[in-house]
Amino acid sequence: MNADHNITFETIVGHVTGELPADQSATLAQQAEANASLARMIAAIRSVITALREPQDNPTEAALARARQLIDLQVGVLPFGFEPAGLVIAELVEDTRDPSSMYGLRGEATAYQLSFEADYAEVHLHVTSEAGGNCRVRGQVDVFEPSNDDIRVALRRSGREALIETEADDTGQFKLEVEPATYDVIVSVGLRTLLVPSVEIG
Amino acid sequence: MFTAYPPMSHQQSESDADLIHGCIAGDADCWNDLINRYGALVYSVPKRLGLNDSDAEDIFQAVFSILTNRLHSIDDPQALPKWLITTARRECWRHLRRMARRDELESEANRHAEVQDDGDKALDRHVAVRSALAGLGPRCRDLLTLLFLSPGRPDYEGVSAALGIPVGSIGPTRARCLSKLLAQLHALPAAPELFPELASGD
Repeated sequence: MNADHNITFETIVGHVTGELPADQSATLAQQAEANASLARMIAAIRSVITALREPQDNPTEAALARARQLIDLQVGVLPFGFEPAGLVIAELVEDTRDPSSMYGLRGEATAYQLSFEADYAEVHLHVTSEAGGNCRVRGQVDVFEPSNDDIRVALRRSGREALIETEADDTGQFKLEVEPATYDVIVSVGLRTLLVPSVEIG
Repeated sequence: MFTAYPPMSHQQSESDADLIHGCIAGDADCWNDLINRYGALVYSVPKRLGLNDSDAEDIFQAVFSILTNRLHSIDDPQALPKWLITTARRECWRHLRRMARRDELESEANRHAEVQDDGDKALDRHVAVRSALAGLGPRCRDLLTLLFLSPGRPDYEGVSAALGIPVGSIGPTRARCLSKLLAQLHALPAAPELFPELASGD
């Protein structure tokens, strides 16, 4: 794209950003009316600067905090015995509570199902509220490829190191009883570990 | 409003490729910097679809969760902005479909689809220039980021202090960097559709 050999690119940028003195800017605008190449270049620079400055929505502090913790979950703070090398973070695919809920407690249903998926397995959690206030979690781990690996399941309450752990049976089913709270769900299948961060159970 | 900027940290001036490598190595600073760099872009997707903060936070976490699993497989770091926005859109539509299915709000989902159309084009243009920006060298990338992506109107003295560039060199350097950005942008396959102003017209 060629504009005018006497007009520098810097001058055109100054015109677009409003930093060129008014008289020079007016002259340039006049020249552009008679010079299609110059007009296109002004339009292109204006369009790119406008695109760069496109207003965006700043994430909330809560959103940032939840995203930042993911790297910690990924690298360093798996409980002893869980293999970090094969770790993947599972994605929520079903939540039968509040339809707007993905992660975190929104619903007040006394029974509901959560399903999570990673590239090698699915985890289904059926949660029911017990009379005493605790929650019973009946789970199913479906490994996509036939496997004889043992399946361990642990719930780690947010901010605590202690685990509530169990092993799934031969069909991948398991049961746990927990207090209502936010948990990281950690599932170990052989040398692979599947993690679901920040699931509120209650 | 004029804004003074502190000197750019090492992390701030890292390329996307360096940040991705840092994240793979478990460097939390790199992860936080990646979130800071692209957080607003990701968060803007659900917000422009009219979702509330609570839902937007869920989608934000989901996108960055998926990213943690995909870090190893990002072949072209320059494509990261597009990958992020595509993933955010997919998560939003999954979310809206769930809402529609659950509450028979199909018409509501359709309304969201109509509302977001114009906003998406602007975001697509923004993503394209961010991709082009990621392909520039650190000096140009940092300068254009401070001048056009930072909140507030840039104070040249602050930019000079932050980047170690004499105030008198900022204008010429900016022009050179914008010229390089236009060239990068011109090479993107989506450029003709998103930036018809870049066509030569010859």
